[in-house]
Amino acid sequence: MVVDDEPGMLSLVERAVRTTGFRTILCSSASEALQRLPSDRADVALVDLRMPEIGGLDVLRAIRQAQPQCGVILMTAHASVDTAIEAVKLGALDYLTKPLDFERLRQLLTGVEEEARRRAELLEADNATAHRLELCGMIGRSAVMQELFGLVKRIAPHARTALVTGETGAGKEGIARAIHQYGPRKNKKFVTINCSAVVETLFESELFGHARGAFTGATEHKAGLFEAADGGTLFLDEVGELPAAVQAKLLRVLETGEVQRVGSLQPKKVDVRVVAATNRDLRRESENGSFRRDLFYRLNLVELDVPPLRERREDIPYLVAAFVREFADRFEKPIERVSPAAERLLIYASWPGNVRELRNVLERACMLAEGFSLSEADIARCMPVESSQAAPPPAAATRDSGADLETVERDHIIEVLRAERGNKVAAARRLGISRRTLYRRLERHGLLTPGVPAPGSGL
Amino acid sequence: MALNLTPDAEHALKNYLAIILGYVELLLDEVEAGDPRKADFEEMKKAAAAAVALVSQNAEPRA
Repeated sequence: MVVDDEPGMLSLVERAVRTTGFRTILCSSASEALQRLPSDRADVALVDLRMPEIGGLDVLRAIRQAQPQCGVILMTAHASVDTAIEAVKLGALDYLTKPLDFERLRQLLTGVEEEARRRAELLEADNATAHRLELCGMIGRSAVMQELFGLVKRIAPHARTALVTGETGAGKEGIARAIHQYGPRKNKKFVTINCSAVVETLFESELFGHARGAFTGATEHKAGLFEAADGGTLFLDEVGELPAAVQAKLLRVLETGEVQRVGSLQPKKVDVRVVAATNRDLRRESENGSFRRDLFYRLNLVELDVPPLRERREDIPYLVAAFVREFADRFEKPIERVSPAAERLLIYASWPGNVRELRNVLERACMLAEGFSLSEADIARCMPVESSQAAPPPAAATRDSGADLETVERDHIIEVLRAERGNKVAAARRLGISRRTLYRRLERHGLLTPGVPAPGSGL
Repeated sequence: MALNLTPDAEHALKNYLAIILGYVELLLDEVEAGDPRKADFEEMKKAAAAAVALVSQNAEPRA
């Protein structure tokens, strides 16, 4: 992008850089440049310092803010040391005096080109690593997720039933799909039923089908989901919602591999892998009798626990990047990153709704945002109040008993620090440890450098 | 030679000279070694560069 109020200068620069392979965008005023900035994504801008209305330094500031990857070269007919220093301070690439030294200009452009290429290569390399750290589109660089992905790949070829546990929105269905994808049935059907969404009286007919005349309204023979999923995978989401009578029948199907349509005496062989998912503690429910114990053990042969998002906060930046890319594409917006403050907000939120909630928040934020970067305010206004608190308020009650000690300790420290409004002495007293011990813990959990944001800091 | 130019006049003049000089340099890059016009362009460049120097000198005391 070339910005100069003198048209002769614009065409001169265009001619001069023609051989470098750069495409030029010519703007004859600062306001035109600022207007075109969001849509014409320039790699480098050559800006005249002295223009009527808006000066070159202001254009420089605007570009640095809106498009930091765009290098800015200032040019002026009247060089002064002060403006040169000011320009460099503001992040200008260089400061050229008119008449322009074309040789120098071309050198600068070559540098910009190399930098852009290097960045593209880096991005590509990063994408390649990301691919290795993904499973069927799920991002999980954290150790807990890598372990889970490994387990999925190991059991997928063999397991006939599996139980996926985890909080709402943690990605249970994704794991179920991955088990299907990595198993021998990946070309067969993957059929989903959400057990909490089916009317109780229709369960049997849904799952197993019915014969004509089995009940009022059963005017045709109908195959159930088990038959539909024959050869493939049936995913029973929210399996804990299954009524007791259906639990018994489901167990029978799992054991015999035969389904019987409602109102029919003819058993039918089916070959279905069943992956069930629940956010409830079925082990406890099977112990106190609200879920059939034999069915629980049958499903539980392989249990995959999907960790909640707050236990794998290190994945959040990658998830955020992926979601922002997705929604920027979908909404056709030039958003390409989140501001550091916004990222901190996202990383330290409690996310009771896990990845799904994070995704929803970013979808809303991207829908409403303008410009290239999502700011802290963009994120905050899209975040439900309970998520924006760094840790769940009534701690012990909501804490997942599966969380490891480190995570519990880390969350607890954050929570106490917030309660004490960042006062470390008071926090240490409440934790029953010395201030020095608290600092050591903070350091160990990597909480020292970015600082646990105090409640008043806008988090 | 001392010119008596206002800062605005000096700035404008320099801008125009920069355009003239810039185009001449581009033309010089394009002409073949044996081209008879080459010498003409050299003359234009020399004059434009001298003008730039003159205007700059005028700016010197204030810088």
